Amino acid sequence: MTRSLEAAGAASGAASLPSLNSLQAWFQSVSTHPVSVSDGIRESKFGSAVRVESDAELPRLITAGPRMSAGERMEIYRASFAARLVECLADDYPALAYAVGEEAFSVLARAYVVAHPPREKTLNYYGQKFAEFCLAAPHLESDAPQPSPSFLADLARLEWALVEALHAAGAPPLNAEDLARMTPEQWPMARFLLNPTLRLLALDHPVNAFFQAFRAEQAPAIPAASPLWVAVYRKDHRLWRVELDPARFALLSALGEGTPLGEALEHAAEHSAVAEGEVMAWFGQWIADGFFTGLH
Amino acid sequence: MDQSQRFENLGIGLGLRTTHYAHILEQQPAVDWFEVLSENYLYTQGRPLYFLDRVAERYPLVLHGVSLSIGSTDELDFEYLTELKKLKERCKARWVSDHLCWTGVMGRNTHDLLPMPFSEEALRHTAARIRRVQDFLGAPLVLENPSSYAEFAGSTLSEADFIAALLAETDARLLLDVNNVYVTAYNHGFDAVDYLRRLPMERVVQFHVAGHTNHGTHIIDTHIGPVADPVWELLKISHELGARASVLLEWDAEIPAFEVAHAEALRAREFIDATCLVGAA
Repeated sequence: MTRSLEAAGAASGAASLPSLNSLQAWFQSVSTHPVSVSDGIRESKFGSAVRVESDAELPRLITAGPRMSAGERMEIYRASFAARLVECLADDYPALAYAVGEEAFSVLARAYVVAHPPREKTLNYYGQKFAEFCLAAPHLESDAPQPSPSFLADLARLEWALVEALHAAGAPPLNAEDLARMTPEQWPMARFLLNPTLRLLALDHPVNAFFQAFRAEQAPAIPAASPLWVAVYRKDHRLWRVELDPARFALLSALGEGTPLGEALEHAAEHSAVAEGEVMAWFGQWIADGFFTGLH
Repeated sequence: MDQSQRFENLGIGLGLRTTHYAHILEQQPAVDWFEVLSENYLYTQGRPLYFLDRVAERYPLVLHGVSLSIGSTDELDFEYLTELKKLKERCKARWVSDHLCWTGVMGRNTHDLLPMPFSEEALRHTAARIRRVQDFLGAPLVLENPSSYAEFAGSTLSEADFIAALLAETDARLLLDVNNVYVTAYNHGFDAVDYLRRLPMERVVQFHVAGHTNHGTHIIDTHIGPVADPVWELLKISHELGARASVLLEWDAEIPAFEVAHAEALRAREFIDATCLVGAA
């Protein structure tokens, strides 16, 4: 069929529909275009069956409605596509959205949507690569001075740890009686299973205090860099954040990697001298907080 | 049609929303049933499932999905369906519903309910997929008419005739969203009552009612706010046309206190009871 015949068919309302497959590919391409429906139409080529070169030719595939042109109707889908995903990212990264401001966050999130078009059935993990993206990508054009990419990436890591802690499988905590059954000789070789919701983060910015102040609606300013060690976990169906020092972070990290307690304590001691009574107090707190779910 | 599958009338229910978890578990309000958004519980092993299990102990549940993509030309995702089937068993869901739409192709998921062209090809394609899904789930699929904002030039059937044909060709049932009927009729300029008259009302197993946002040129199905009067009217007319089914209110944004949403859902009695009396007389 020649193009003129196709056009004549469309004009008389008797055009055959392109295959469902190419029609859907075309519709998706136009309705998810980051800039405009017109650009989407120009850039979307799926064989001769859906050849629509310009806005004027759009009615060959999409009809006008009682009050809207075909292009305006496509724009409803196009606008809602990115808006929905930006909203999803804002839900997962509220403090980051506050830190950069609503407008800059929208720019950043829309760039993420272009770089990471959604593929999964769920949006639960859509923002998984946002920290990485913040570090590498943002050239935020904004009148206000913007936080550094490394601050944003650290804040994103903390907020993502909360998402992960929410969705991770839980496990019953180890209790004091389980520990009491161990003899002193067994202690150095004990390997601990960490709570699967627990996330241990070593960061370069004090983003936990920033997050806390944001949550308390204290309108925090962007802080200067300083190291942070923090644990994020779920206990009793609530999410918790606890700051650590380097020794405790090293000890928990080593235990998390399956290192026996004796050896893990040596790692901790590289950061600061650790008294035995101090270690007992740490473990008492960690057991109370459900950090461990078993021994092996 | 498989007569062995029962779709009991569960009464008047509400969409289960996280903002209401605490109220529901602590107050145990007298709600007939809850509808659960499948995808919120399919890809988590954490807190959402804890709440779902507690709610499932006390209330009848129905699963309502948005990612089946029954009309798509991408392959059906049997991993998704496997998880869906497990979730259905876990929370003893009475049935599983999704939308007559597609959500993406070429491996993408737009997370939007995209419109179908109402062609013979689309009808055959979708009917075949419905049968495969039903065989896998071992139960009829319940499909909802979505809101839509665009129409394909190549459609040869009306939406209502397409749905009626799809139901005639498969064992699927209809989740009749009367708000979506109203929204789509407004956006495309067709008569909502004529649309209802074209549907096989004996295949309706569930209603949706919801709020919407009218922008003048078009209406968006936002699920915000109370149900508009003309939408209640469509519920009443559907009942007069013979549909007898569970009713559910969706309120998904600017969600009010639980009692406010529940009171709005219970307004359905004003419309369905009224028509019952008319019918009895």
